[in-house]
Amino acid sequence: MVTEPRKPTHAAAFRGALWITLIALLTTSIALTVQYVQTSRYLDEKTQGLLDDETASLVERFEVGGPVELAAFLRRQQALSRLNEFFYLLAAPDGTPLVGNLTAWPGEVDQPGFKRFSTNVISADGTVHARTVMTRAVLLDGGYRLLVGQIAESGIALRDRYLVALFWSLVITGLLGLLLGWLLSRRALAFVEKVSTTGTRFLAGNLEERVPLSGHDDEYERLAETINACFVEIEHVVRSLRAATDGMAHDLKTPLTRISARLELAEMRGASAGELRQIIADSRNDLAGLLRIIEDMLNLARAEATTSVSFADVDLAAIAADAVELYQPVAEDKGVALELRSTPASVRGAPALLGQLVVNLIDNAVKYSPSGASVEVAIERQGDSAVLTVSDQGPGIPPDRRADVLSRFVRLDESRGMPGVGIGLSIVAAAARVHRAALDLQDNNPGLRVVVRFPLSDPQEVVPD
Amino acid sequence: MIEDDPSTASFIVQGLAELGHSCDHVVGGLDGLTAAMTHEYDAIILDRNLPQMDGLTVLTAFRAEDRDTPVLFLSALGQVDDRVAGLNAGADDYLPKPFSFHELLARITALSRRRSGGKEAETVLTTADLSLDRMSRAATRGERRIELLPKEYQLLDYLMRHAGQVVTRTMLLEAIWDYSFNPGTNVIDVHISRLRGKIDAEGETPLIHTVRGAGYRLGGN
Repeated sequence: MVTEPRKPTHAAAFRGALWITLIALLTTSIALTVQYVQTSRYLDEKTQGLLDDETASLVERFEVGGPVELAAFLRRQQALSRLNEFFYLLAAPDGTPLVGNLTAWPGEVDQPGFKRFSTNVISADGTVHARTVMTRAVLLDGGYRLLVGQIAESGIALRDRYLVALFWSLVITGLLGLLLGWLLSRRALAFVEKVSTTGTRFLAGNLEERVPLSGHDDEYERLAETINACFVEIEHVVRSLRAATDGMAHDLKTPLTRISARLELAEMRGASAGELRQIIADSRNDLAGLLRIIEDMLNLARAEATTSVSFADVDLAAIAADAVELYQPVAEDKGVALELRSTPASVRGAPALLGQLVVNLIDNAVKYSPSGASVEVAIERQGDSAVLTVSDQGPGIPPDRRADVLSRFVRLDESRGMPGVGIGLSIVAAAARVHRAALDLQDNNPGLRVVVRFPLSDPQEVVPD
Repeated sequence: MIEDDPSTASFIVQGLAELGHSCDHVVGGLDGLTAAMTHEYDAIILDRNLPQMDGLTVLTAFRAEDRDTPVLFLSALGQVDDRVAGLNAGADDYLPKPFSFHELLARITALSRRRSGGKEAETVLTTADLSLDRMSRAATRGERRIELLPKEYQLLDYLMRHAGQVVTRTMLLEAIWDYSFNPGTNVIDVHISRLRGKIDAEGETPLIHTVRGAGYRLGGN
């Protein structure tokens, strides 16, 4: 059960940070790329629209004035220093340039329509530059070809900027992602760290150790509560085992010592036949008591080891009726009025153990009741609970001793000398626990009222009055 | 008897011998099974934890051969589940350790009697001048009619089916209340004394006897 103390490791935090960073990088890249594609498509569409308009106006001019008029117009346009807007080329049917900013009909344009390519363009001052252009070619009447183009370098600028932006975005996102991811993972994992530290201390024997609660109503809190509930359960089992061992040692040793002493004495003195008979009778009595204790302890161990696997639907009222019937004559002989008030109430449970629970409660109640008093056993449905109440008018149990009574082998001083006391209520407590029932000891003014609240297994069922 | 603990075994053998019963004793499960298959016993006492072959396996094998000799299962495992497993495997009764010799004897007697003419199927049970009609659920002693409460009827029915035998308190608790634990207080004694009050009226020969340290016996001896 001893685990090697391990060095604290941040592997999980680092892995968490890496994943967060990777996701951030992917998201950023996708966002930027979509934006780039959309922008460049928009720019292309805008250029094509402008080219379409310009071409349409030139075609109209050609249709009105023919090639001569168009050439003259183009020449005039060319003289204007407006290279940033459009450039033109009017060519003969064989492709010979007639007028325009291009040195030759570009080989890339072999049919009417839009085209993007790189070519040499003559600017207004006569110099020639290689530019990326977008062109619109049309075939005019008489075989003349017209090319209208526009410098389309904003697309390239956009791409360059996109790459630069992408690079820096990724660098920044990456760094931020790693940093924030690390912090975030550490924060989440701090909880895990807390739990494992607590667990290690608990294992080392500090049974009061609990995972500190944050007070936030979240998943971590729920996990912490579940783990703490496990710790409470383990602590309870360990402590009751310790108490049981102590109590057992005491309860078994006392009668054994008596028997041993008696036998020793008989051996020493050479007892008479009458004395021997008395010694045998006394010893048998003590042995019967010992067997009784062992049986009780086995019963308690059984109750504690019962699991819900074997549970069935059981009518608590029927179980209570059987137990009351069993004790009715005993109660009558004692002058105690034993009354049952019940409604059918189905719970999930082990019938034998539930029977023992009710019997033990009634047994105690009748045992401690003075003559003329009454004991009431009630089964009621309250919301989604089946409530078993056993009330007596006996001496009761002082509030500060109530928790003790439920643990193993505790006997109230007043009850010493009464046979069979001590373990009965412990079995009740164990039986209640395995049935997920809440056990409560209350004041009956005077007397004791034991309330056991079971979860109903048929809470929706409407019970006729 | 198939039992591996020598002192438990010798105590049972001696006890039975003193009461005039004879008892063979084997230690191992396999030897026990062989002995059980080759002899006709009135009853078999079978321990659960055995060398060679455990008690449950012995019992299953024995019952698989269609042998109906009554078997009393003896075990330190007293949980309800173990009990159910034992009875399901074909045991006729189950007695958890520690047990008293009286308890064992009462149960063994009940088992062997059941075999040699059980009274389960009879419609009218009779002991001396007491009779119980199991159809009309009416009890009469001589000419006197006896009114019984439901549990009293069940008690009397059980006692009369085992008339002449010792019946222990735990047997009654198991048979009538289906409780496999002992509530501790003298609840059964009080029930019996009520029943006795109705059965044995003044001037009549007492039929319900208390057997010290063991239990009760209806009629006989």
